[in-house]
Amino acid sequence: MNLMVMLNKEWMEMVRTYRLFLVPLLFILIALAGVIMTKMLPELIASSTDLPEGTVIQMAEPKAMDAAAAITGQYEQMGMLALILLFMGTIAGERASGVITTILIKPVSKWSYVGSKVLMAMLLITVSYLLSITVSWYYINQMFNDGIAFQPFLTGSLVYLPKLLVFAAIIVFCSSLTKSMLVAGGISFAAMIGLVAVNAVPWVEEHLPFGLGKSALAYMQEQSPDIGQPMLWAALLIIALYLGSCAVVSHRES
Amino acid sequence: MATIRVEHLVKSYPNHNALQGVSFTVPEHVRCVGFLGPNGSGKTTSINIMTGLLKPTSGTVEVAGINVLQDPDRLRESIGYVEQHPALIHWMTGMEFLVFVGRLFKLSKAECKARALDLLAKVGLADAGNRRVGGYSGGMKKRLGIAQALMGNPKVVFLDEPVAEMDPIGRVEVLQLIEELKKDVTIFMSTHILEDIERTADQIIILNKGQVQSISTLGELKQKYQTSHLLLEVVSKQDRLLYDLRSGVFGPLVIEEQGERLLIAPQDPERFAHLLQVYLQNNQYLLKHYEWTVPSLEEIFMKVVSAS
Repeated sequence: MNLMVMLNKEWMEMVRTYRLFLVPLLFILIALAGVIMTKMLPELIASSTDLPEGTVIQMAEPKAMDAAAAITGQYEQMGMLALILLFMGTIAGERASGVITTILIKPVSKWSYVGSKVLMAMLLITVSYLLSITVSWYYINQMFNDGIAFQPFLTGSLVYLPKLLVFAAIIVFCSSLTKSMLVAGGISFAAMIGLVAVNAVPWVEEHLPFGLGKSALAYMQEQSPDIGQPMLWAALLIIALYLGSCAVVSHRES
Repeated sequence: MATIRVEHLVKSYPNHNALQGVSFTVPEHVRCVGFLGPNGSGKTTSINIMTGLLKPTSGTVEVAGINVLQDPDRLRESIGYVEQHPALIHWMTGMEFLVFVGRLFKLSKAECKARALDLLAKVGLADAGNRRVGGYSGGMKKRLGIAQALMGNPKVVFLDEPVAEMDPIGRVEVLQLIEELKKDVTIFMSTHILEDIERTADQIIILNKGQVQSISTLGELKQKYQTSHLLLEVVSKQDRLLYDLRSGVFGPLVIEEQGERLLIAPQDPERFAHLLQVYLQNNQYLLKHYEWTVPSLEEIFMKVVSAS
C-alpha cells in the first residue's frame, strides 16, 4: 500500500534530518521552561532592579498546579510557534524543490501523499508531547513540595493534545497552499492569531478545541468538564483540513 | 498502433494560448522522438499534459494506449519522467531513492533492490549508490533522474532538456545512455540542442507558438528543406564562369561570391550538377575546390521556425 511506503519515507526523513530527536527535545525544553519559570518566579521578581526601593511584594509560594498551568501556557505560545517552524515546509518545501512532482508522477494517490504528512506530523507531536509531559511531571514533583499525581496530570495533558493536533493539521493545510515555506509559516501564524481572537467568543471556547487549555487544567485538578463537543470538533476539523489539503494538492499538481 | 497520439490539444491561460491545436502521432516503431522548439513554444506544457501533470483546455492525449485524461492512474504506471533539473530526495542515498521509487510502483523489496542495482550500473552510478544524493554532481543527479524514471519499467520515458547545462563529458555520457535506452523504451525528448536530436532522434517534431510546424524523420526534414549549396573555386577564367552562371543556362540559382570561391544555391541541384559537369569539361576548367554542402539541422530549424 502506497500510504505505508510514504509513511516509511516520512519516517526516514525524520530520522535523517534528526527531527525525530530534536522535536522531543524541543518539546521537553518548552515544557520544562514553564516549570522552571514558575518555580523561579518569586526569585525573579525579588531580584528585579526596576522596583522602587522598599517595595514589598507578597506572593504565595508557587504550587505544582501553577507549574502544570504554565506548561499549557508555554504550549499556547512557544509550542504553537515551534509547530509552525517545524511543519510549515512539509508540503511547501517539497513543492519548491520539485520533489512533489517527482513523487506524484508515480502511482501515488494524493490521499496517501498528504495522509503520510499529516499522520507522521501527528505521531511526532504526540510522542514528543507525551515525553515532555512525563519529564515535566517528574521535575514538578522534584521541585514542588505539594507535587501532582501522574494520572490526573496525564489525563489533563491528553485533553490538551487534540488542540495541538488540530493546529498541526492547520499548518499542513497552509503548507499545501503555497510553494514558499515562509508564506506557509506566515499564513499559519496569522491563523494562530485568528484562533486566539476567535477563542474569546464564549461559544467557540466551549465547543471548539481551541479552548481545551482550560479543560485540561480542570482535568488535572480531577474535575471532569464535558469535552465531548470540542473532541468531536477536533476530529471533524482534522478530517476537514486533511481533505482540504488533498483537494489543494490535487488542484495544484494536476 | 501509436505509442503517443495527441489530437487538437489546446491549453489556454487568461492572457495567452500556450497550445493552439497541437496534433501528432508517434508510431510504435519510433524509439526516440526529438521535440524541438524555441523558448515559450509550448514544449514543456505539452510534456506536462502528456504526463498528466497538467490538464488541457481541450483535446485528447493517448500515451502507450492509455487515455491520459480518463485514466491518469494507469498512465503513471506506464511512464517515466525526468525534469530538466531532476528533483531528487537529497537525504536519501541513490540506492534508497531508487528502492523508494520502486516501492511506489508496488515492486517487492527484493525486486526493488535488484532493479536498483541494475539501473545504477546502467547509468554509471554503481559506485555511488550508497552515497547521499545531496553530494552528487549535476551529471550524476541527471543520471539518477533517468534511473528513477526507469524503475517502474515504463513504456515511454519523457525527458525534458536532458543535457541542458551539462558539461561536455556529462552530455556525451547522458546521450550514450539515451542511445542505450532506446532499445528497451520509447524516449520522448525535448531539447534546444539540435546536435543531440540529430544524434539520437528517429522522429523530429518542431513546435512553434503553440503549433506543430513539422513532423518528420531527420532525413525527410533535410530532404524537404534541402537547398544544397555548391562551394566552387576554379583555377582561372572565374569571370567568364560567373558570367555564364548568371546567364540562366543552368536554371534558376543564387550566387554569392566568397572571395575566390562561389557559393551557388541552385533550385534543382541534381540538374545543375549535371549541366555544370558538362560545362566544366567542355571549357577545360581546372577545379581548385568543389564541395556540396547539406544544411544543418540548425539551419533547417531556423527555416521552419521563421516560416511560421
